[in-house]
Amino acid sequence: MTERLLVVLDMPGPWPGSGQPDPDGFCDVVTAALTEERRAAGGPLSQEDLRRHDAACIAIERIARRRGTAVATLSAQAIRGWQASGGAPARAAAGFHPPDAAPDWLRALSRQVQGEGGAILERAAQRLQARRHGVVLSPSPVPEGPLLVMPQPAEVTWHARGNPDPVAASAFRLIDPQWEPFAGSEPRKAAARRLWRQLAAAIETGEPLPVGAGARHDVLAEALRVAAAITTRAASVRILYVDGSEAEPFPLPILVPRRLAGHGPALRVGLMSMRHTTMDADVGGYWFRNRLVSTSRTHAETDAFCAAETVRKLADVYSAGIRRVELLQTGFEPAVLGFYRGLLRWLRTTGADLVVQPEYLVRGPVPGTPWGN
Amino acid sequence: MAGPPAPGERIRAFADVYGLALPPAWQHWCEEQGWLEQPDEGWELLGLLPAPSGMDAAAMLAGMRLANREVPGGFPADLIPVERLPERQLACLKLDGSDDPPVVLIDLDDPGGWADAQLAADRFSEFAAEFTEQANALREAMGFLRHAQRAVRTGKRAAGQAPRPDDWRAYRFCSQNVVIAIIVLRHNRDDNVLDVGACLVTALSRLAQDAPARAVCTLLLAESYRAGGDLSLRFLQGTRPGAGHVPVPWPIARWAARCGADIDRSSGMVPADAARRLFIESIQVGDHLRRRLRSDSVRAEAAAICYGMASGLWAPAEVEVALGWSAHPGRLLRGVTDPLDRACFSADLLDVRSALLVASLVRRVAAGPGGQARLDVEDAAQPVDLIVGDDETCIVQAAVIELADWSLGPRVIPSAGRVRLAVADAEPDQLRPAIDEAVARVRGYAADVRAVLCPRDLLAVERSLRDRLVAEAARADVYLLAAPEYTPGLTIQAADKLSRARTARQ
Repeated sequence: MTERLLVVLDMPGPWPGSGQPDPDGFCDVVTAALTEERRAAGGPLSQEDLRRHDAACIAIERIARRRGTAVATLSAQAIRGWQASGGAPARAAAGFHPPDAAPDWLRALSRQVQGEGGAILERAAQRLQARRHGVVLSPSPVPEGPLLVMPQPAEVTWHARGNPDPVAASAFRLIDPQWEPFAGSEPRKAAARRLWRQLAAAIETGEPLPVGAGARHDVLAEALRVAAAITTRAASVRILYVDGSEAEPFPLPILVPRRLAGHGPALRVGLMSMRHTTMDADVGGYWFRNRLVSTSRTHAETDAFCAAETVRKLADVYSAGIRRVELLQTGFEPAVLGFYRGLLRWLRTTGADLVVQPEYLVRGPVPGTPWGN
Repeated sequence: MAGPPAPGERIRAFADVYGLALPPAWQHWCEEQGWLEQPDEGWELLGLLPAPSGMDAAAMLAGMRLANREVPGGFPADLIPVERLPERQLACLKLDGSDDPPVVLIDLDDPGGWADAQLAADRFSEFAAEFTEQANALREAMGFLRHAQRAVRTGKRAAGQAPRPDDWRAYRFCSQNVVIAIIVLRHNRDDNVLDVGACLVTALSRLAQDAPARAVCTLLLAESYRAGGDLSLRFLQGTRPGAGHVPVPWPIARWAARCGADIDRSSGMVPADAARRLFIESIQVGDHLRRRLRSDSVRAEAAAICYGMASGLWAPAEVEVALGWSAHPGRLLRGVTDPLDRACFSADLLDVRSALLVASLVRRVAAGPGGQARLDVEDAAQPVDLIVGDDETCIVQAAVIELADWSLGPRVIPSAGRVRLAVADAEPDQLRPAIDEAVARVRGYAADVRAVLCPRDLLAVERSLRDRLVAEAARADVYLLAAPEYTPGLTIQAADKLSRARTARQ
């Protein structure tokens, strides 16, 4: 088994904002990498963005190997373990840390390190702070400086386990929803009952709910809506898409619309353009542009993108006086879940009196349970 | 469609003329139906009454014996032709004295192979049942196609509209000019299972036994994985709503039984656990890699890894290296690491780059000495065994390993059948320590030809340094090899593979 090593390099810079001359372009490549990270905070990156980030990081590492000073070496596996432990700071596994963040990162790392390593990192953190230096992690075939020893978890799990919530799960088991929107479709009712059981089990054990291969998008949305209404305490359900990516847990707050028909004009939209063109005449527009949603990324990333888009668009729609959105809901689960996730996020933040009325296509449009404050 | 029963006197006359003791199972079948026909394509299972084509088993046997009287030994006396197949092949009863004898496939252009003909079915009754199954499946497939064509003609469906995973769709699965299978399938969202509405699997003597079934299993299970299913399969009688299940097709059931996947043919289901086993056994990899895939340590990722190979994303050699050398092969092969987590992602890139380099060498060896490497699997000039050890070395074995054109320095790697290999992959400014480390890893294997494989960048380092590296390796009796790939290209390839692995399943 190959233990990939990373050398922690004390890097004088010039770091962005220092105003120092930049003869080898170090500051430029750090700026380029940080720009991509900033973009990532606003939504998933395109392949081109990822390539730019990769190229910038390779250049950062190369320059740092030439001009930096080795502090210590650790394994990539150790960083993974640290990240998976749940106690790691943001950017724990980043490839570089500018002077304003480097000492804190080193100190956080020093708390994980066994033996002498902690003291070495603490001293390095003080030195970095005094000199306004940063840190770069460079892959290396051999260790340079002391090799840091960190505890290895028995199994590095990608996602921290959710919190088991048997109390919330028992509430789910006591209720037998009638699934009125699916009265005309026995397969959908059966799928909804099956999903309801899965939902209760997922909440009880803290395990993720698999999404995308089993229940259809309309069944999923309706089940989450019913779950949101009966939850008597803050709960959430983990979502695992079929591509293996895990989205943020889906929040299940108490959410019953007080006003079913918001005052003001309504907006009737389809979920995503260019998928069911026969619907074009029935809707005023589409909530998501297919071109922006259907790009090469994981379903969890698409879910996050759709949630961010929804928050942005809801603000626009609400400020234009719209109080009711009729959503003709079609497939693609990450977009569906992203929409409702964004809706819940926006409703919670703003407390606005907006109602979303979903319509499912079950042998013709069928109204689902409305969502709103 | 079945013909009328053959009269008893006709059956007895046939037996008397040829001096045959007819097996009771076939005799009984002939007494019940003179022949069977698949109306869409005109396949015929011959009995002792003329089928719609005018042919029957007696006429066919007479023709075979007459046409092959010049062949040494003539047409085998223990064979009775019962079905004409494409590509001048015949399915024949093999009279072995049993009540329900086996059916074998023979190639009319290869009389030398008649004595050792490929088994098509253990019993005639099974063969007849399979004929009926396949005839029904073809009828369902043709019916589905006619329905789809009608939908396009009447404007219900756009001609160029790609079906979604949960739409029924038909595949004709070919290898070169041979149709291996015809399949109609969809992913059933309600039950999270891959529904197979029709499944015909070819049986040709020139193909290895079970090869078509393996290919079909790979296709079905890859499709099931891609669509998000748990790999389970359900065989149905057509695509109509409420269609009942049919037994698992015989070729798949036989293959499953041979590879130890536990399925109940009559249930029409291949459950998820058996399907995973079937996927591992069906995928085209060497024994060593298959053993790794069977192990519990990759159980959770086995389907993803098999899909990665079936879809062409990962070469088997790349998977073998990843499983042997990566600290977290499952995550690596699924591309789980966030590229912005550079500390971890750079390690993944190095793991994939090592795998790419070894796979490149395996392809080169497979092309054979001086091979013009058109390196599809089918174009490989020689088989190559790759055994990846846990000590970051691997063994490459083939009839002839000729890598002189990859050698550096005056000392050319000798032609051998087995090479012990380590990889020195790092950025150009780190090559020296990487090579030192790699040389140290292979140094102990004195019985083997030992080599260290580097990216092409080694040729671009300063001449004196390169000479020194070659000389130091030579002192340890290790050869340095330069692969055709340069580091930047390797990095782009590796990042691209990881990105595709992340988004493979949608």
